[in-house]
Amino acid sequence: MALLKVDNLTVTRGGSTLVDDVSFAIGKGQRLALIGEAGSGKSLVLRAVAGLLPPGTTASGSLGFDDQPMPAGTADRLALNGRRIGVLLDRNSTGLSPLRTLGAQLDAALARAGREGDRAAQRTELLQEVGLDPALAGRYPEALAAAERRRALLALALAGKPDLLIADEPAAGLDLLEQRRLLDLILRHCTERGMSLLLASHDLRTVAMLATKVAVLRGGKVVEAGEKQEVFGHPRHAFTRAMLSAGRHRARTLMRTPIGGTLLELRDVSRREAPGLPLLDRRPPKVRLEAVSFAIRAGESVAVIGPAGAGKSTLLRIVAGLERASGGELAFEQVPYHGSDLPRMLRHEIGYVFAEPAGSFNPRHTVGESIAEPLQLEMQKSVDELGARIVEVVRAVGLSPDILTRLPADFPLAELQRLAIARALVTRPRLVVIDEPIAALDIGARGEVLVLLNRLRADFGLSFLIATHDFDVVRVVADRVLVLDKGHVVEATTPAQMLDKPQHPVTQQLVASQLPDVGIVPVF
Amino acid sequence: MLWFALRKLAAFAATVLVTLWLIHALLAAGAGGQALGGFGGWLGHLLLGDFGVAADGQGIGGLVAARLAVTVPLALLAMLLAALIGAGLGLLAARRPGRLLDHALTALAEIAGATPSFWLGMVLVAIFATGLHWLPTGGFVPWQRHAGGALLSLLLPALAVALPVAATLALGIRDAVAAGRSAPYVLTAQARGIAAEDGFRHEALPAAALTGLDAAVPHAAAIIVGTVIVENVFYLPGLGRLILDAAAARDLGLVAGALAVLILLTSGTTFLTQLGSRWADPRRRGQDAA
Amino acid sequence: MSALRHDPPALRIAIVAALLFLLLGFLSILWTPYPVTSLDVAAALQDPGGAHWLGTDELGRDVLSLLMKGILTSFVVAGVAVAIGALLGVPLGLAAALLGPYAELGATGVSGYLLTLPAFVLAVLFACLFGPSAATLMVAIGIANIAPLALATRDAIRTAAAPDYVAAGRLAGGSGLDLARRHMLPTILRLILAQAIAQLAVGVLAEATLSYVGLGTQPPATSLGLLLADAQAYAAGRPGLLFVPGLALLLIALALTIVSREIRAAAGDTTGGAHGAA
Repeated sequence: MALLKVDNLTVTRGGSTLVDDVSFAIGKGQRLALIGEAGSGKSLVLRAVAGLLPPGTTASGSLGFDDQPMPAGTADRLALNGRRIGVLLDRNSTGLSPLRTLGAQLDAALARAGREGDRAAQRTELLQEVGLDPALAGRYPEALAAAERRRALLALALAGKPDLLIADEPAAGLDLLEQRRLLDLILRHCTERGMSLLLASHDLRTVAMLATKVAVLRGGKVVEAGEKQEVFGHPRHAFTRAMLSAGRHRARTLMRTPIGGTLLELRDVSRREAPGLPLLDRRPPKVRLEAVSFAIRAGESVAVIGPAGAGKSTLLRIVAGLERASGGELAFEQVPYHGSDLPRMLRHEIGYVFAEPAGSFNPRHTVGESIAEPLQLEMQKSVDELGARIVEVVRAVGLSPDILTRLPADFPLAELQRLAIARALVTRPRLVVIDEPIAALDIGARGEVLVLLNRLRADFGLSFLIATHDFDVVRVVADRVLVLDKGHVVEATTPAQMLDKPQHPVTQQLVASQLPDVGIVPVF
Repeated sequence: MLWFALRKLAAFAATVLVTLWLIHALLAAGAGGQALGGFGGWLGHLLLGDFGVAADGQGIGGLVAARLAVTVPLALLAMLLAALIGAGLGLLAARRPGRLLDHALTALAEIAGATPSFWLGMVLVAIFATGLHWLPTGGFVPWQRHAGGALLSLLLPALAVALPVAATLALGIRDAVAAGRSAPYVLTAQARGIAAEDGFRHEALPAAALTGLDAAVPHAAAIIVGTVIVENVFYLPGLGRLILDAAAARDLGLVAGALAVLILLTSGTTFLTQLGSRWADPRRRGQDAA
Repeated sequence: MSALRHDPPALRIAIVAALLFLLLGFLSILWTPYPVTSLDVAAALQDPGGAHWLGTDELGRDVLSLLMKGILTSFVVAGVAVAIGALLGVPLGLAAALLGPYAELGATGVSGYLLTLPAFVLAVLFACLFGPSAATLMVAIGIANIAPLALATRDAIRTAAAPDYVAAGRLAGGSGLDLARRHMLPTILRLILAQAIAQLAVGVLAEATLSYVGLGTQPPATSLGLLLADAQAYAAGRPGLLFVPGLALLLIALALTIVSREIRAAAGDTTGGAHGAA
């Protein structure tokens, strides 16, 4: 006997079929994940089940809940939401009511769910359960961090102790620690209360952790479905196999650059920012970085990992010469600097890749112009040599030089990221600073970019300084790793050491928050 | 909120003081301006309610007060009409975004927003007074004689001032409400089992109202200036006519006193509407930061 | 968005309309159908048609000729006022954006103050000092233009400096000026231009309004505001005298407003269409 039964669900908009004849059933306590790329129709299935299809779409097929057909009327259908069905659809965490306090919204959800008793105590319990300070109940959503809003939305969805939770990308956009905490909480509700789960995600690790059953969607159709161990262990459909291999980054190249002498050195680098006008504002300055010291040797790749807001980007921007340290000193090849005072003659030695490939290209310039821009640092070279350089780097990132005359809007994100890497290489730098190399990319493109980075490092003898919140990046491209927390380096180690024997509590937390590998399916 | 109010009060006092000084300095430089005396003395008398004497010997305070009996009710009526018409049109247009009514109302609002109010006043007179004889062409029935008649004589001028402002407000409210219809928090409300229409009414409308209120703040003072000008179209004995007649007669004492009152009115209105818009927002009410 | 808003065809129509009015105004310097100074009481208050396309006014002057001269006054006064506002406002905005937090505090304070000072009050003061004229109006409206242009300049620089590609240009060794020219100037200039055109629309309306109450242009020169003041007494019998200058005023202001808004919308999109703000 199934709790949720979906038969022949088809969703169309205009003439196009977005969800095509999808059927599945979820029993009590079962956890089904729909996997697929963006546009595969997985979110629409969830919205159809939640009775929240977007305007302009029509659905056919039958939905049953608890051996009854789902009510047809909108009001009757919505009456299930918030009571027996919890719904978490909002991927961007912008769905809290802006003008009411968090506490008021939780109270309303609890009242709707018909929970009797002391409201304040229930609210506090709910907040503590999702790991939020009960004092936050008095805050308005705008005063909460994104991760806090995400947890608050989960608290709203769980307020009625639902029998079924519908969750669309529950951990999207969170850093590792937050992600793990949220997924643990959902899993606990499933295992302790026997809650069923209907999940949609393109993140295979999230699926591996939460689901018992898996259905792979492509173009609105279910191409493969079954027990998680079956599908992940023996994928039958070619698309499933491609997806699974894209999710596994085993890209370490065997070619290694020999590691040489010290290239970059940081001594007690700090950055503090005054919150307002120095003379008028008495608040203490915000500490972005505090006494950060480390060195990168020639040919070495160093990753900086840490929770959101740890100061990773600030550190990278100071090294590359975009911002200035308020204390301490840096030295590149023994030449001292403090950030934005990086001498012009050294600028061509450091390349920079921004976190958002789309924003880092001027939309009015061709990509060729953008890639050529750093060459003004080497005006003494001949025009022919510089032209050859551009062709060389564009080929090196796997693209053809004829695309140079096109505008950035013509490229998919993954190719723009390749072009951004090409621009960082065009001055033949020895150090390339990379902010979140794959965070902005789709899962299919992530592996390719990591492979590319390793190949470029070997081919050009590069050193890397990479900020990331992703362990895959650390594993695949880093020789050493720095763990940053609240502006401090709390641990400096190697990837293997960090994963096996994390020393500092923050590192331990980060490592523990890793989601299980897809290949090794854990048994819950 | 208290600190915010005090800061805004200080800003209000400072702007008024600077403008009073400017008025005094410019007029004192003109021919016959020495009658004003020094700035300190003039300001001191103003603060005590002593506006001095006009060229014809009448007390300026009394003259201005009599004119305010027209200007202040007219401005208040115009603000009320601007708010009601603006909100009404905006909501109506946002009922079905993208449909014919929305397009028609938006286009109309665009046009009305570019219409000079003094000309609009003439057109309204041509239609409703000389054409249809529904309302008086101009002039003013004093409040003491007939309050209803006084209100009727203010209706067309108030409309002339209010309509262009209402049109601008309506465009902003339309956008805010239309955005609210597809706001993520309305979807979340449905996810919690609240019907879309209820979610819209309880979540999106208040947010849109606050947006509209914020946008309306700078218009309040503009309505007062508009009032002062439109009085001339309707031959209303208000502050604007007093100022213009005094300027034409080179009665600099009277000009200075009347302009001082006008500045107090506009700056005071801005101060009060800023406080009101701040207080209306539950998120800001308890805060002191800017 | 609705028909008139964010709509390239509307932009084209608005640009053409604004240019036509501008042309009509400046044509009056060289040629008008009739000299506007010639009074012909015998031909007073004629209906449109025949010799006088738009009829004649109460003094027998040709309305089309008066309209052309009035439009010229509108553009000249509003244009000079924008120039005054830009001359003082743009440097103020540059100071606010580029010279550090204290300069910004000062510049925004000055702008905030100017915003509370209505052009009407300045026009009255200048009329008392120098006698009312088109020149005093230019200065009064010009002063009122300072704050909007200063704030627009400050915000334009902020908007233009925000994208990562400006930082990328900085890393590529571009000097300040080089960087501004390559990556920021198109956006900055368009945003300031949009505000200037918006102020031009405001100025056209303000010139007519203040001339109507006698604070601006004086006879024998003419202005749309003066034409409307003259027309008021004859509006009942000759509605054309009321509608022709009024509609001209309305159309000029509307066309300029639409042009301004469309330029702003196009310039604000600094990250390129396909990827959005990402």
